[in-house]
Amino acid sequence: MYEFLKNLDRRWIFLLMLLAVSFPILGRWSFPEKISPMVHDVFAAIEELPEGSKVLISFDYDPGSQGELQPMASAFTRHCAEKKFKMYFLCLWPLGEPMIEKSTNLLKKEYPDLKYGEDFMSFGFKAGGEGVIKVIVTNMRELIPTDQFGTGLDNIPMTKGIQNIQQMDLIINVSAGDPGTKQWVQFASTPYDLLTVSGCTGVQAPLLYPYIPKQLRGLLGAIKGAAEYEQAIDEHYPKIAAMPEAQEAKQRMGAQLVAHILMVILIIVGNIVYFVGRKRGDAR
Amino acid sequence: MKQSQLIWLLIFVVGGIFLAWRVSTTDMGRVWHHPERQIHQQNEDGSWSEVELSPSRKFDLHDDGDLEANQEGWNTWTVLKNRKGFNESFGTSLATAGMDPELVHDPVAAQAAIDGNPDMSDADREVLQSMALMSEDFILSPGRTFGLWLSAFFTLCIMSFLYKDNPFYKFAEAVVIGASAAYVMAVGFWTMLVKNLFSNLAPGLMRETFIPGLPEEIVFNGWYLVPALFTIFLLWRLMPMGGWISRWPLAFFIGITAGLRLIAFLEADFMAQISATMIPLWVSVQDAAGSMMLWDSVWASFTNIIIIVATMTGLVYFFFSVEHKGAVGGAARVGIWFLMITFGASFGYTVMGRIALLAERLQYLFGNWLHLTPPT
Repeated sequence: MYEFLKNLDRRWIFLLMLLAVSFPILGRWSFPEKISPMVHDVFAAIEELPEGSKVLISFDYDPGSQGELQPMASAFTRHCAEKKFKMYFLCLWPLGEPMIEKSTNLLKKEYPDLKYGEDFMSFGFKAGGEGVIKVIVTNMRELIPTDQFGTGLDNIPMTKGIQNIQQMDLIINVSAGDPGTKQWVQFASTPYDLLTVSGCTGVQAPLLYPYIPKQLRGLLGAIKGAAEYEQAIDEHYPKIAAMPEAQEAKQRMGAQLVAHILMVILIIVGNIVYFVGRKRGDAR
Repeated sequence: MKQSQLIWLLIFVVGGIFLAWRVSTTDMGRVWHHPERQIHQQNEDGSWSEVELSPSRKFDLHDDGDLEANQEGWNTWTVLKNRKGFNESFGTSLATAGMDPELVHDPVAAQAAIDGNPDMSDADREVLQSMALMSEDFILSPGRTFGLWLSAFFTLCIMSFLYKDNPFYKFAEAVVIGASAAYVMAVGFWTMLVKNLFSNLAPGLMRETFIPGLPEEIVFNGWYLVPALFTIFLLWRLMPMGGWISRWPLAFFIGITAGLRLIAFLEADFMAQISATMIPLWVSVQDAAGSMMLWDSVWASFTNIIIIVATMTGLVYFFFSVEHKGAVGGAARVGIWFLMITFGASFGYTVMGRIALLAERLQYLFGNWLHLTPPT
């Protein structure tokens, strides 16, 4: 057994992992989520705002991270739509525009009463990273004269009076790296005291926790945070709870559970093999 | 042939047979669509707005004779990832409205139900009309179907690297890199050069050509000649002589970035973080009546103490002016433990992220491509 495990081809482990993730997806397993205080803070920050509040939603990620971030981006969009906020979409990543399109398509399909230009609009992609935030926090017109489709901001009802993002009631950032939440905290939230919440990839989460609660009101950490946020929305909005497409993160948590159990078993087995090998005096 | 190779070959053969069986017996791997009309009307202020259309006008195509003055009409496409899903969706709507869900399979009967029931509610009529008008004209979308298979093919090509490096993986990798670079270049051209640079240097020309909606207030701004010049300087690097000139704009960018980041870090990461660490060691949590909740108070205080201890010991670990011996050494060791816990959390989160990516791809393959689960 020891020899078999010691010489096990890593590709069998890949196959095991594939099966561990596949079965919960095929079986559509999902489990109830308990809402953590940090996710509750994100939910509360959005929920407490009055109808018609202006919300800047910056999608700073690309298709490479959408497996982790798209469920929370969709959940943020649905929550804002339910609250009848004015949604201003923006992205600082070149491949972020299709991510905005996913959310605007969601709004057109699930909330046909909402109109582009009156209830939601998109500034599209702006190159320059933190430089963009630095400029638009004081003078948006300098860098963004039109929306994503080339319409002047004064010709769009919801952007007529907007001069800078200090006029926003909330900034929501979905971040996969740099530029992302760190830059929004550094250039907007901290110097201008703007209410900001974020959803980020797992890699970033431990680095962003120190900003909570003063510089960041709350943070959704990876797919787990997204699943808890979906749960919080489901508890308050039965209409969304009944929609299978609004449970994406929760469904992915089923796969996470089985995959994590497999990981733990593999780590334990790996350590046993290591210690047995050391006891036997194996050179490796 | 080695035993492991035989097993993997078997897996591939079984997978191939399964795929062939699914394609021949189900709707798998096909995308259907239906054209629908959109009409936009010019408003008094010159802007355009979409005209609300009834289902009969929305789905009755090929006739533009009823367009009025100042109206523009064009077709969009309702895309169905899964035709079965469409039938189920309308079946649910019909069942909710108290009608026979089987009508979804029979557009003629659906139309007859509309004609024979004048008391039908507008919502029910709309569902039936949509279904009756749309289900007749569903056509297979070759472009979207090809895109779906291409997407599945590239996903499998990339995943094949887990077995070993191979030409399929190399091909998919090259396509991804090439397409991403081209996409970023095109987006950069339209969003930065056209929208920001050219619109400030030649606003009239941009209004006439690429950006008709460019605000009239934007006039020629000579300051934008500086970034235009820097752009040329940067590209000068490609010239056989005088490539050194590209260092000027680079020096400018580095200086600006360093300055911007220095201030931001000082404010958000240095001062604000020091302030965030100045927290009480004892926190009294009170309920609505004003009496102290002991357990909550102890827990909140413990959290604050952990934050302070972790910050202080972490700083001690990175303080190398004093040898790490005695009390300093002990504090540094505690600091290492906190750092390790942070790295462990970060690693755990990374694993979770990677599994989420795999789950998303499998959901796509099982749902949108193989139709084993509902499409995403």
